Amino acid sequence: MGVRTTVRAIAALPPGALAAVALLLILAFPAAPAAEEGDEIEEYVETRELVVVVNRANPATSISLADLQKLFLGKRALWPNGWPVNPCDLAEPGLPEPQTSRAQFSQRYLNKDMTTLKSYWIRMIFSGKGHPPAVYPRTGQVLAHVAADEGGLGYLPRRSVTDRVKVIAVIDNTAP
Amino acid sequence: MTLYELVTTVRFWVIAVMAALSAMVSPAPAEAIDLDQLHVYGYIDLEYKQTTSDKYDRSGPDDANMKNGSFDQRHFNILADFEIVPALIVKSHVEFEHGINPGVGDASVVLEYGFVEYVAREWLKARGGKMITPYGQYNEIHDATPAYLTVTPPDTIYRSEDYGGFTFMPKWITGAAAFGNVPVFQHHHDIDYIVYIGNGESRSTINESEHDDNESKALGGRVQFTAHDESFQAGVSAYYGDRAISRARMAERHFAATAHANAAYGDFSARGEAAYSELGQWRETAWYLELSWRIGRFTPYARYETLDPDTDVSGDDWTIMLAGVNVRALDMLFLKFEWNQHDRGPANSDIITGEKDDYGEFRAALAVLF
Repeated sequence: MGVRTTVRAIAALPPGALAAVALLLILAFPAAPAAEEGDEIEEYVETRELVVVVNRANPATSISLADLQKLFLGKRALWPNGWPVNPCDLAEPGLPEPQTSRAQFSQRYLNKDMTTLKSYWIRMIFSGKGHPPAVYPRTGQVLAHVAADEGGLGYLPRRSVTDRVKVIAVIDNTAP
Repeated sequence: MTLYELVTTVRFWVIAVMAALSAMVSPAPAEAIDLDQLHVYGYIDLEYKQTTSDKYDRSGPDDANMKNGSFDQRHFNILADFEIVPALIVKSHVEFEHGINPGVGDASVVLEYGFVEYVAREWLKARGGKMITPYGQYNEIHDATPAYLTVTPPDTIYRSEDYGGFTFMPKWITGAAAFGNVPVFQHHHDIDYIVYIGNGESRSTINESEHDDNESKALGGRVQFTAHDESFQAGVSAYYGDRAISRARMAERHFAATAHANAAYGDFSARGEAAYSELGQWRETAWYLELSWRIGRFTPYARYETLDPDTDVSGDDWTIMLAGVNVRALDMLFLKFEWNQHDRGPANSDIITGEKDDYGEFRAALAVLF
């Protein structure tokens, strides 16, 4: 079947098909709220340096990049000492999504943009394999999450780190 | 040791482990659910299908003539995971399909899966209950439309019974499974596995995984390699069990195997799979190749898939070429449009007229994840 035949076949479809396309398009593009940007946001994003934090009781002092990816992608459920891993994300609501800590962490450490990351989690959720980490809008909530659970894992701008949690180094051992 | 003795031994230990797990869970008194430990997800989708031929229909509720075109409130699905303790999780997935209205049409309510999962070690986890059969790369998400680009998974493998073949593998297994993952290549990458034992298939066409009408239990599993950043994955799956076809043939051997792979490079993705299944003397094969290219919110895709529903019969192949686009209108809202070109051989058993027939099918879907 050639292109012409296919085009003719599509053209032969009754108006119902075209109406269906129109209805689905209308439903698919609802108005989206506009994002706000400002000088303070730009400064925050430009000066932010994300570091990986764990609970102070966690004996780990460093983590390999491959292991970090597995922990944040739900492919590891336990720390080496057997504690259940409980990761969390930070996504500042005032920022455009690509500039959130979650997006930057995902791009830098997980090698995934947000679209790819979300697609990944959709597949994980609906195949019964796991669910994404909790997402918090404020650094204080990430601190509280990691400090409250000995298996806690998160990331923060370095200037937001307090002695409630412990910073661990990430070692990139995935390069050939 | 014969295969039967092996199955019997495995069955004994699985039952013993499940009994131990039940003893751990059941003595706990009922308590109010801590919402922090409850994760609820779901999706709903609306589909539209219209064919250029009025001879055939496989997909419409109530055998509607697809030449007229029809909307279908295809899925309304709810998933809930509850973490009893960090290492013990109950997972469930309930599906309301085709706008269920009791007593009307082919609509259904299905417990897609409901099982308890125990994490002992990374390399050893246990699961008991009803689960979607781990087979290939689509079966476990076969109805979760937001989870894949196309309107449906490759029909020639995952709905082969509608295309003149028989079911490659049972879609569900009720039983127990052990699974886990092992790091390989200096801990950079992973190999994950799952092995299961369950009821397999029965003569019932309504809920065939819920009881076993033959004494042998079904066995199966999957092993796959995954790169640390998910850029490449490849694996093989197998299933072995007895299937009752009629009272006279209560234990036809059913064996199925498939090999799959997928790779992503930047915005380009490719995935493919080749499957083989035999039921008694009946053998079928199928394969597909799917390519996609993401351009912002738009992901055009194309797939070629073909089914040989009986390898002893020539001229019965069913081939589908499809091309479409998936639009991620919002983070959780997907829109799909595609054209399917069907090419059916004259010997295909699903053909009523005995004539070779090619026809087109327009499909569209709106899927919302929540």
